[in-house]
Amino acid sequence: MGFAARIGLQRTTLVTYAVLVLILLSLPLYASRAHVFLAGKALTMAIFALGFNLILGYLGMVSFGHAAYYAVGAYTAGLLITRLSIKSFEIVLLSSVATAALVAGVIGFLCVRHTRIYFALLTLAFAQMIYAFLLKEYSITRGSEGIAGISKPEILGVALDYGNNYYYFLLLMFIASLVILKIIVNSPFGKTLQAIRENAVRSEFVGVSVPRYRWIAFVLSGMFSGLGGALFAPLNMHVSPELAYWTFSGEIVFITILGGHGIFEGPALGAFAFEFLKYFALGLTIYWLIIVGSVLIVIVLLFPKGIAGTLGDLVGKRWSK
Amino acid sequence: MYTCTYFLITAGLSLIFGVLGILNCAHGSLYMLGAYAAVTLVRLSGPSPILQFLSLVVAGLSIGLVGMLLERLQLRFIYQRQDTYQLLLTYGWVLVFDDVVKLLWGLYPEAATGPYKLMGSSSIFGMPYPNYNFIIMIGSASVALLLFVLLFKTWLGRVIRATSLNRELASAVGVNVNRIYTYTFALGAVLAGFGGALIIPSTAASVGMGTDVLVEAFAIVAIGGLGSLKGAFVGSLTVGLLRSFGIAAFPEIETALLYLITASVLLIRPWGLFGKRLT
Amino acid sequence: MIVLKTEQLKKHFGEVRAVDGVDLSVDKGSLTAIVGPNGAGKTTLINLISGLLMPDSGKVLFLDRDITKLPIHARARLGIGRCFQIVNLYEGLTVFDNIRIPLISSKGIGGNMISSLDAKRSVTEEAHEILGRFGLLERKNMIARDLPHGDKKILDIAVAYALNPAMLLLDEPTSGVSTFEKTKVMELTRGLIKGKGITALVVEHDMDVVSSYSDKIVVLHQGKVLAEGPPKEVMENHQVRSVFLGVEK
Repeated sequence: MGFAARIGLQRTTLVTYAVLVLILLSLPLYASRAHVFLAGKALTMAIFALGFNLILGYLGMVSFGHAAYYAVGAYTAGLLITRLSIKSFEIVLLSSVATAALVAGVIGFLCVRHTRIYFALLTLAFAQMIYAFLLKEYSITRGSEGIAGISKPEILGVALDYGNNYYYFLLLMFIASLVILKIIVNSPFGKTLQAIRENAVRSEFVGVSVPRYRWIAFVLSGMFSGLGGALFAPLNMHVSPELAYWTFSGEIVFITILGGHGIFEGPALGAFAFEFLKYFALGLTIYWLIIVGSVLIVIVLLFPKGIAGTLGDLVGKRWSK
Repeated sequence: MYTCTYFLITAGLSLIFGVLGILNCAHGSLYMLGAYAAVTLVRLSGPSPILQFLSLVVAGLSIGLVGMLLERLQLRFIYQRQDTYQLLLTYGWVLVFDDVVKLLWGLYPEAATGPYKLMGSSSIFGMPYPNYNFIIMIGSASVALLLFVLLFKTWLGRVIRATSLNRELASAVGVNVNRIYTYTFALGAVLAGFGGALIIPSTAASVGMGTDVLVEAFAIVAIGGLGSLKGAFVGSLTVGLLRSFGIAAFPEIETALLYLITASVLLIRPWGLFGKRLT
Repeated sequence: MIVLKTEQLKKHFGEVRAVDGVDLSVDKGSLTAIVGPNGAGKTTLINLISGLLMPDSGKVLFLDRDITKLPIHARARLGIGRCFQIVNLYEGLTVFDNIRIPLISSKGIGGNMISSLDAKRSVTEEAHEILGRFGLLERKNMIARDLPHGDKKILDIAVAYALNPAMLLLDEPTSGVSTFEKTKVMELTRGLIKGKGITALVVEHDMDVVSSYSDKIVVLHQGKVLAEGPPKEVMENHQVRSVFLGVEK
């Protein structure tokens, strides 16, 4: 079996991927610095969204507090780089992801036995606690100022603050995340998650310990959120407590639905669409929120399947993963 | 004092959830709109104290109109959909209203201190206490009383309560559920808007007030029980006390404390202190 | 050999004594039917055995193990499969996936995050085999929701069967099924369980079905066992007849 089939892709899809990757790869050649920065931000959000969709699209649970794990990842990275002057990105990334996993592990353990509105409220409450912590613990987190001057470290000896290296690294991490998540989603574990989404009760009767699977998926999504945040910190060079505020959690839900939560690549598409929408709207007027908010309203009312989902319908594909 | 405004807001939120089953993310934004609307109306009404106080009431009512529009034009299409979509739609409103406010009133906090100054202050335990705060308390208490009368003594109130308990049954006995939904949402909006209107003489209306209030309102409603007015009251009382004393006693964890309590309640008794048990 | 045993199982809901001291004993490979008028406690009993409810007192023993306190999924892993009176499928997924999911669970590969499910030949082959036995193979890619009702019931049984259980609990397998299809469902079920030596505990209302297919009948009435034994014997029992048919002595 070829590599493509092993990770569940058809040949045409692989070609489409290749084309898109080439476009993204060549971006720094013809785009402005601002656009490259934007694409970089979109890549971190795409990683966040793809991980988030593991519990939204595949498990069917809405967390309204996922920004917390992104923030934890971002702050861990920020602190390690500025306070402990750690130059090795390998260590920074691993630590940030591990910290995010730990936090998600604890919070997830408490939340996964609850569903729907209660799950949303619980995750929200915990995220707000983290926000409060980031805001108040001035000694560690510098409160509302956030942590500034986060420089780009090295990875495997390559200096990432040189030229467009950081952007290429982001692209690499995005592709890696995409592949890893694709493998997870097409595995027996992934199918079991879908089973839990479709019928949690029957799944119990079929021998699946539903809370346990939910917890594992929650931790995994927390890890990718943390990765996204950790990658964002040196890109933005500054992190602040707003990264954990509930409106940012709402944003990731928006992005995931915007792109289409029923199709694997949807959320990544949503991330890019959102960042460019924001940029475009800001260019038109300072009241860009009205535009973004209206787009969300239109999507919710008219195109609930998101961009990828609606396109998929048009192309006649089945609503499946 | 906090208790009163929080009660108005959370009562509205609880009502909307209890009857429509929707957790309205934009509730804080309605509160904010009420505040800004009040600012404009108070300024317009000139020096007359009666008009000024009247503007506060009118501001609250106008938000009810906004609520009605939102429900009729958008919300009603997503009742059948999953929870995610209701959260997202109302979240979309948050984004839009945040900018609408900036558009209409600018970026800076706006105050309308007229009624506040009018009332002057009295001395309590030797410390000056603004009399306006009494107005807030009286205002909220009267609204609460009106709400109570509406819900428990009038025909409309009975219908609303019936619909919240069993939608299908209500519809089967001839209740126009759609209309009840609209009215309830509008009522919730009025409560939020009035809450916002009441406070602007003493506190300025600002752009972030909607999102800040919302997450606290969620916390209160979660603690008290989604859909329960008694719970909204108890929750608001708790938070009000927490706010007043917490800032003095433990400033560092005061913000986090609220959410800690919320999480604890949700973990132990998901339906809150007074909510209905959902199996 | 006794596969399932309950000892003085009791479950009360306030004043209602749904199950009031039931002693049950089920032999390996047999098809035992649980019958009784509405409210006799049949479904509560099944819920107690499968783990949906915890008893107020009494024990449930499966393969000589005390499973009284075990959660549902643990009992399923031990080998208790359950089908539902109201069809309880993965409606949004394909027929193929509906069968693959219990197979994943029974093979213990639910934790596998790195292999491609589609590439797992054993899962695919066994799924095909099971679907074939239940007559659903040609429709394997159909969304479960779109199946006709009778086939949904069959799929419901197939999902429990795919778990490779030692014991199958069937809750009214022929309810809502047309007379013609009833025979189909029961023949299929009986053939499969006899073929694999699976023990079956069937809650049923249709006495014709029960008398034709079961090895043993247990009659429940007001939470207690009224009578038990081979079909012929039980059907002739006076108490049973009066409870069911209002026939006086």
